[in-house]
Amino acid sequence: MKALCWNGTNDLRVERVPDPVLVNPHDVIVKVALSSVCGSDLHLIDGYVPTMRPGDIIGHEFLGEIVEKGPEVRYLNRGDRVITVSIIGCGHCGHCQHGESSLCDNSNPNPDYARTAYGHCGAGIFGYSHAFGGYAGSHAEYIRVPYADFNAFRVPEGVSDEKAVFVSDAVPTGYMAADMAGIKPGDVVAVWGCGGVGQMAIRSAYLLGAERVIGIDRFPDRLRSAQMKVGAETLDYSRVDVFDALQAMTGGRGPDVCIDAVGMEADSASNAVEDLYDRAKQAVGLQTDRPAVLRQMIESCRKGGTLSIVGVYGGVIDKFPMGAAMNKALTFRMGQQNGQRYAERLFEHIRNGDLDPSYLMTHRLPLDDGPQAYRMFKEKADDCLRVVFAPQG
Amino acid sequence: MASNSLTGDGRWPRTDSLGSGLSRIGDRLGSGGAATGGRWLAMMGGTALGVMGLRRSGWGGAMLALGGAGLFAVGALGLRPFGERSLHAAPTSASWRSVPSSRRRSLTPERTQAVVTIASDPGAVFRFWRNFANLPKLMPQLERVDVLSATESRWIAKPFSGGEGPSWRCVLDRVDEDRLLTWHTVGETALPHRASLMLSPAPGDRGTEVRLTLVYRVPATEVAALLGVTPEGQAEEALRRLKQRVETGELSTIDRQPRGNGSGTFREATE
Repeated sequence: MKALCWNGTNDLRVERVPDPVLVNPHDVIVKVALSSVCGSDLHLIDGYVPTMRPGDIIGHEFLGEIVEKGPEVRYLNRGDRVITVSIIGCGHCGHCQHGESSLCDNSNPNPDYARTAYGHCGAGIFGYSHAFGGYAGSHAEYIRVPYADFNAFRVPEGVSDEKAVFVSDAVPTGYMAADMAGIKPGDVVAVWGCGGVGQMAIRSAYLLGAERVIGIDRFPDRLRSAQMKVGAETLDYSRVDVFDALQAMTGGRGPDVCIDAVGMEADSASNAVEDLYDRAKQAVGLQTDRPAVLRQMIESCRKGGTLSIVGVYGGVIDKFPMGAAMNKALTFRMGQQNGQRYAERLFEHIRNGDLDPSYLMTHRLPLDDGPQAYRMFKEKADDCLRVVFAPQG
Repeated sequence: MASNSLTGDGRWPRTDSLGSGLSRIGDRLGSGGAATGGRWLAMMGGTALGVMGLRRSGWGGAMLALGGAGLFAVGALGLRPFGERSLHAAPTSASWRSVPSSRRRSLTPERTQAVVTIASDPGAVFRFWRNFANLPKLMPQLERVDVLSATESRWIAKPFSGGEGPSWRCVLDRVDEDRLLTWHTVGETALPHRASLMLSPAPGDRGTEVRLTLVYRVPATEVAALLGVTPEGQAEEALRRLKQRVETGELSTIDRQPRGNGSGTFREATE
């Protein structure tokens, strides 16, 4: 089959690879119909995730049809149209049983990397480096899905492929950001990053009762889309001082909830010195992640407010203003998405018309265009929010 | 400090785990010793410069910040841009030699313990382990375990360093249903050891805490040479697999999955 493989920093190649096979009794093989790029892939492509190996197939947000199933798969059948949650849970360990499947004890077959770096090992993720299990990703014609009964969800009748595919990752990630922040009616929520996840967080914050949601980005098309599609007020951080603007918009209190939908490659266009400093330290390996968004959130958030982090961080950061966080009594919530907990609820929102993520798919391309598509996505050219590959042509 | 020595004298080690743990921490601290003082100084200085740089605007601030980052790098990475003596307290040749030798001692733990929590009642865990014929599923270095009688078994390891794999006979000592299992080797073997599996209920309905203890009478390096895995690795892998078997009925794996080989008809570079 054809697959999009990582071969080094900024080196993606479309290659012929063997088809996947059933290995474990709870596996299914999915024939991939749609597979989306994700902002977190850029961390792999830019070389910030150290356990990638040449030949790894990337991609983790996908929809397709089950074409083979293992003998122990009970609830799914050949021919089912399914989405698969990008973060793999076993369904049986204590974390999976308590709705924290991204912390699954069992799904990562390579626990040593994460145990060494983090003390404990989290779940495996499709196409997201060997620290997260080394599973082959979905930018391919076929993919093996382990523990399928737990991780794959039948798409309900009446929900199109274009809407459903994002329930794999972007929608639950945004929804979880809003959900774990404990939004209460009347809250003002600020969301850093108006990509696919950020826009889903904005919509989810409204669904969970926020009174006002402010989206922060610097790309005009993204700010426009956050405003037009999900109803955010917007701030262009390259033009205004984010702290001052947020205080002015909230009567000097600061937002009740701040959501980070950016992660480790944040830039700080409003403070060139800070940006240079973070890039220099990242370049020589003294911090792996750039924390400009975190610093800004801690400063801007109201006293006693909540920071909810779904942008991906991988390693260590520097100049973390712990004093401000402590003395403002901030609550930090964070984590990879637990999509298995949200998938049914999100399909219900889509069926009701509360949520329509299909507009995120600004480009639909064949897999052969993979390398150029990621370049366009990375440069945010052509108003690109998400490229979705159609590997079957 | 308790002695870590265990080779040669043939007796069971009596080091308590707390003692050996402390000695390991001591080794770690000792190995850095005075040399880390300079590095901390560089890191703190770098941080101070960085903060000053960030507070100033313009190029001056940027240069200060960069300088701070560089100095921090020197400290954090233990670089020696100003020669051997600048940041490391110059070690005497004797102190250099003493570091690896103390580390070598700490790498031969006589007693290894691994622990895991399994979301299951103790009965299922106990039953799986109690049938020693299951153990090759948990210890991939074993070829098979033949159960000879209610208390005796023969364990045959896969060949790792050529020739036949090592083997040994084991006798069960204590069988306390759903709580404790202990066994030890008898007769001639290259890998004399004893071991125990302890089960206890985890608090808050979290399942069962499982503790596997392996006590080898030969150094870890010898175990690794014969089995291809250190006692620590063996214990951790066995419990990881036990947990997966009991909880999910399978072992997570990426074996046999497709991957690219850097070539192919569709080869194309991004940049």
